[in-house]
Amino acid sequence: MARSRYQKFSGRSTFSVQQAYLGEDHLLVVDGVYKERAKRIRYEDIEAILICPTKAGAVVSMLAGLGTMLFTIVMLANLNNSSFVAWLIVALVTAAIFALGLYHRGSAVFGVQTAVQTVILSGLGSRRKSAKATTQLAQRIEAAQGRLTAEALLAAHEAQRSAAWAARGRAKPTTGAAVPPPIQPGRAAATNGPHGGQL
Amino acid sequence: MARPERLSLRALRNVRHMPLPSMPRVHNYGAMHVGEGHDVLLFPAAIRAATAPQVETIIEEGQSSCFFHPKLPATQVCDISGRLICDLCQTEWNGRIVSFEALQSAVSKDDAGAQANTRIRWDNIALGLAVLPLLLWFITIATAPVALFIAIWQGRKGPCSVVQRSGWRYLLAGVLALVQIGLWAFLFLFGFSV
Repeated sequence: MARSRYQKFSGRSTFSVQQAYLGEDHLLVVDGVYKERAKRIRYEDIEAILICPTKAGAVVSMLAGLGTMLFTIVMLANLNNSSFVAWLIVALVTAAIFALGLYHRGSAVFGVQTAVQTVILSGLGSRRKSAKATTQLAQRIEAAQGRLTAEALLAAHEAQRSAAWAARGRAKPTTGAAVPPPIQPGRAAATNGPHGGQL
Repeated sequence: MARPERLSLRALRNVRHMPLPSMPRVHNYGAMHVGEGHDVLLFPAAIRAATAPQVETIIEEGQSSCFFHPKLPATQVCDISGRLICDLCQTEWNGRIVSFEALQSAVSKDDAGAQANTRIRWDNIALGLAVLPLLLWFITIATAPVALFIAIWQGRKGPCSVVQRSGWRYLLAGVLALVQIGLWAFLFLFGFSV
């Protein structure tokens, strides 16, 4: 059997069959069961990895925790009853969901941004998986692109600001602390009105 | 909606944009811009556009631009690379719209099949035809021969996935189909004669 040249990066999730693989020079995102659609994202083209924590995992964990408590009480109430085993199984299932939620440290959305698209990897739906995947993917991207330094980023911001001022046809103002305009004599401080007072 | 800044990031759960942070790695960033905090890790490609020579833009607000010509609007998606391309960059090859760069890459590597971005998963189809009809067992009289045919016809060509190199699905589909055909044969030979 020929060895695959791809390394598994993320698997299927509850509601998606999307899978991602790490290739030599690109990230491969595969979707579909009967018709496989592949998307290749070169490491050189990846601009950013974004992770957006969501509340869904916390809500499910909380409900599972409440369910565990409730079903444990019901189970103990039926200790001498034949339905004890059924309640025990239900309590164990909810406890497992609760424990899984704690283990995964909550849910998140993981995305990879390029200049033309943002691809969301649905298999990385937890914070734990996202953190692990970030480390793994960042290594490959930095091997292809190098590491972005804070100085380079600040220089890019500065260049952008200068370009914006140049586009307006004005020189960029010198940096310094912002100074409020002086209070004009004879004008009382405003205390009412939609903008803090009537001028 | 305000036109997004050139150095910007797209939110993951809505269509809004946020400016690039001042540090390459930040946590819980962008809530005031897009409504939700994001953990962001930036790479040099994020500022590549800003350091590249600026050209006069002619695309309208909200339009996507060509990957190779940032000032031209994108009109197609390359079927090989998945990149957005303009009219200048596209050509037709084997019935597909592709960019010249992707075409050159595919031809030079001589593995155009491996570069194709869409494939029919005959192994999953065969396995599906062998397993799913068991829920309505009487239709397996029609589906089992089809599953067996696909398993033999496509199985000889090898795995059809980009990433899965094993042909166990064909094997399993073929065995299940053979069992179903055998059971039907048994039923016809002995079941109806009783």
